[in-house]
Amino acid sequence: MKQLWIVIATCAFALPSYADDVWVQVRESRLRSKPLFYASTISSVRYGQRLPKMGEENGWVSVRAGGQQGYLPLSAVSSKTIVFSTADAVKSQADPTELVLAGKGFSKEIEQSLQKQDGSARYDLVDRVERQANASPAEVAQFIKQGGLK
Amino acid sequence: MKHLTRLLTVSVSGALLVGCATTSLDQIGANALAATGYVDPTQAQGLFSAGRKVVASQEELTSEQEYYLGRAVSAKLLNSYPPKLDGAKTRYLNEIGMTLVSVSDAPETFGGFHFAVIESPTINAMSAPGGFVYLSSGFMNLLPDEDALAAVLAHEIAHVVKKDGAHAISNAKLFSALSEASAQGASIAAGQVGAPELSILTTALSDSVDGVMEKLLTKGFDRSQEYRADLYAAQLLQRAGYDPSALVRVLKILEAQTGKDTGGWFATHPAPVDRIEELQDEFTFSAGAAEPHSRTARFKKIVGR
Repeated sequence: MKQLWIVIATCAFALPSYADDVWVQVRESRLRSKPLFYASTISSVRYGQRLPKMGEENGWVSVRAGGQQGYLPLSAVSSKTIVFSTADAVKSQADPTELVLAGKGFSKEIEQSLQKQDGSARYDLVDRVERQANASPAEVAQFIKQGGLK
Repeated sequence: MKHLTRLLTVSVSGALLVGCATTSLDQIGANALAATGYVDPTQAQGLFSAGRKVVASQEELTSEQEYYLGRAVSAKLLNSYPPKLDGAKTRYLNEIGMTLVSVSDAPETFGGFHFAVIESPTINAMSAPGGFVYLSSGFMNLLPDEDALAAVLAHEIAHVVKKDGAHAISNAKLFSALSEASAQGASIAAGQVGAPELSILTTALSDSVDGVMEKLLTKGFDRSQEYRADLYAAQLLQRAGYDPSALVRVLKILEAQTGKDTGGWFATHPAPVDRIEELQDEFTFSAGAAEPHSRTARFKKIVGR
């Protein structure tokens, strides 16, 4: 009987806590195998995706996505419920102070309206910057190694 | 059903995201909603109360809203200073930038970080909310090596991570405009035509862009924000494996330029000599190793000096 209690107590400590969920607050992120920015990718997660949180350490959050455990930077997730419609907001039954409605406030719609109003806003150049001013994770990892960086 | 969805969208979204709706505003909105017959007065009151609570809790822009503000600031900035998106140099800049971003406290933003050179002879570097970082061609030409280039980018990354640009918006003014949008949302719910909510939010975005641009181009951030950005930049350089004293070298280069150039960083930042003094008080520099040949060689190859 004593042994059984030891097993139960050990299991209880080993079980992860699912007390908190987090929501992806960036357009897309890579679920990593380790809490390192350039660690290998397990899968991708997208804006508004709800993930069970397993733990948190040094700026990284451990989550489960698609049945696999991995790591995301803390800045990529929010503890607030992110919903895409008011119907979802009502359904979520979340405390209103803990809700974020995606696509509202400053959004694509408002951006288009601003562009119509102000012809000097060069969103075409911003799009080019977003498309062209990039370096892939593999390139940067190689760059770090080749330059004797950490 | 479509009508009801639209009604809910307008009424709740107006209040949800963008302002400080007052209790009386809740009542006006709730009455308007109830008058449509789609929801009863209790449900209507609940929706508006919920909206008010969310709005009251919004002290900062969300990650997504910050991104759209950054895009709007960039759209204005790039009209005056077009980007030079040369393949090799742009990739090099982004490799340095992402090396630093990866060791920062906010390595991922809604739309990611982007680093670009802009055409301007003035010595300047700027960042827009969400992760847009720009370096003038005049500044690029002045920097002698990769570590110095990294030091300037690290300072701008610091402003993004600390959300200095997003905080430059006058909250009171923004919330006032956004709260008005909530009231207009209630009017739409009551069946009035037009889209005043869109117009108010567009004006709010336009005013916010002007607020950030004023900081970037003329007024500059507070001195304390600049000193904090220098300190954080030195920490990022150290974490990434660059020489933190490269930032002091850059500031000394700027000091030597004082008087020759009065715009850009000279107009919007504290005097280089003050920044060096402040940084040396706050950060312990150890004798750094010389920049390895691999970094010197790639800088020479890509930048051409």
